[in-house]
Amino acid sequence: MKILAFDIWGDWALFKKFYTTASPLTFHFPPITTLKGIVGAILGLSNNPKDNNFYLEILGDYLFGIQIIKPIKTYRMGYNWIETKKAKYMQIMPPEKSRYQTIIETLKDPYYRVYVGSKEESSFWDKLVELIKNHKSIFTPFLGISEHIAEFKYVGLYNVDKIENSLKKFVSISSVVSIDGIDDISDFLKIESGKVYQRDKIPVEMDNNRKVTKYSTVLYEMNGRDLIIKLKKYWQLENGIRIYLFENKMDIPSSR
Amino acid sequence: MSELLKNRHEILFLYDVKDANPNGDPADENKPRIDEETGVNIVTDVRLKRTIRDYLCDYKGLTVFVKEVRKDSGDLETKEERLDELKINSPSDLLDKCIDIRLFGATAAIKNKTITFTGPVQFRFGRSLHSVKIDYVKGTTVMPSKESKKQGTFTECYIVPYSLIAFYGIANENLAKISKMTEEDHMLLLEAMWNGTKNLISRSKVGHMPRLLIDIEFKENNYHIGDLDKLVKINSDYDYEEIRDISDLSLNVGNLLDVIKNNSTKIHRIRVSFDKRLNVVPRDSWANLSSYTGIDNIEFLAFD
Repeated sequence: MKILAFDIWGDWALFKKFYTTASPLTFHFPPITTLKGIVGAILGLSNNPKDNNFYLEILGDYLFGIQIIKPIKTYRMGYNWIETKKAKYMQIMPPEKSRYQTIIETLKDPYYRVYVGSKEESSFWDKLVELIKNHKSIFTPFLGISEHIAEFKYVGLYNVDKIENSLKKFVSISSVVSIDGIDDISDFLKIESGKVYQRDKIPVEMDNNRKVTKYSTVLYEMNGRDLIIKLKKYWQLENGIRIYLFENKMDIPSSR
Repeated sequence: MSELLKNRHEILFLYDVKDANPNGDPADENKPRIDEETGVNIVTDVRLKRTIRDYLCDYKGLTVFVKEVRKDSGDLETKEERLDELKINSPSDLLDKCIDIRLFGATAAIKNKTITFTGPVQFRFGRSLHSVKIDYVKGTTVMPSKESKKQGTFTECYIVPYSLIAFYGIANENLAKISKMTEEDHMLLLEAMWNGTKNLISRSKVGHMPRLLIDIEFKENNYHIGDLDKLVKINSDYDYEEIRDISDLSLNVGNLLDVIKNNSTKIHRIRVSFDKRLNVVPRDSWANLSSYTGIDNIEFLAFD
């Protein structure tokens, strides 16, 4: 299988957590569902509900990986929002109650490497590679919200091998990994001083109504350094880099 | 009506602010927004969009949707009332009538009239090209806060003595097809950025001046250069936080002109508006723009 790697960055990013519609927290990197949106925007695929979110259908069988390149930094951004909760039709409220202030956690100077693979050759895959190689995008890609315009750069196209059943051996992994099905991470992770480990739960799959159908528990290092870890499966690029890819149909049962 | 936006555009817009508050942080005593790590002043995209909308509505007499409209009772209009007032019955009516929806899109959950458009025009947050100082200004008012008081009250506000802010934006021709943004809308957008910024004359905003606007129109499909705001740098004999006027600095556009030249085969046209008080390096950049960039199709915009 071939895998496409490209870098994506911007001044700011906001990948809202899913606890509430107005959640003030951000994921530290674009979750897999967001990566599908970014790739969908580059390809110019519709995200209109009337088209059943066409991009999700096209990208459903693609594999995605995400690597943190620059250290994660957050900034607390104050916003002045229009109050809509108490109003029946999201109307603008009378002046004394019309605004409320909130603080939104925002990522500063985000920089990532995105890996995209397709098990089957398709015209969309070829088009994606062509677009990114030529620094082209049909719609304007952004990092979470439209004002955080993303810049991107082609990195390479690599042959990649899936390595399975390697639970006994520690390997160095450069990307965010899924630790679904692992109950006690201390048996699998080599903890090294100076590294900052972070665990989170991210959305991976959505149905055509944009309802999340699969979450994954993930582990990553906050400064973008490698994890020394035992994994049931990983992918090895021809240049020796090892990464984890999120597959659409994951065979590992959800841990919780 | 003019034709739909044909090509991708990339916009770089610089304005400066003197003794005013470019964009207050409502969650931090309305202080100017500052990136504490670098001292850089931040202005949100919605501040710039407000400037554009107000100009288009108040000076050009165009219909904009996102606007505070007071009823006689002093209450704000609801979105539903606004839709009825504008005689908007469908999303396409909204696009026909409201220039801000054509430019910036909208998401609104209104009963039976739900609309979702991603706007073709997107702006990043603006950033000052240098670290800024923040001043805390105390004053007194002559009007007492309550009846029968013998003296006025104290006021306080935060300002920046000087900040030169760069905004970066993209107008996407593929999204323009969906939101019906026209070539004419694009020209109005540029005019509104320039003149609207000049027209900010409320107490906290007076002291804004547009200094440079560059609009690059591409002929290469689906292509843009990217990160234009990172290609200009300022030089000054003063420490950055001691800059107090546009004459205290010069703007180095050498990198930007080089990058434009490298992309010249992909570019259809460059539109430029500049303020004569802005010193640029190289000094003759505007007079010799064609030879610096290899592009003949250059249009100087005068909005006054």
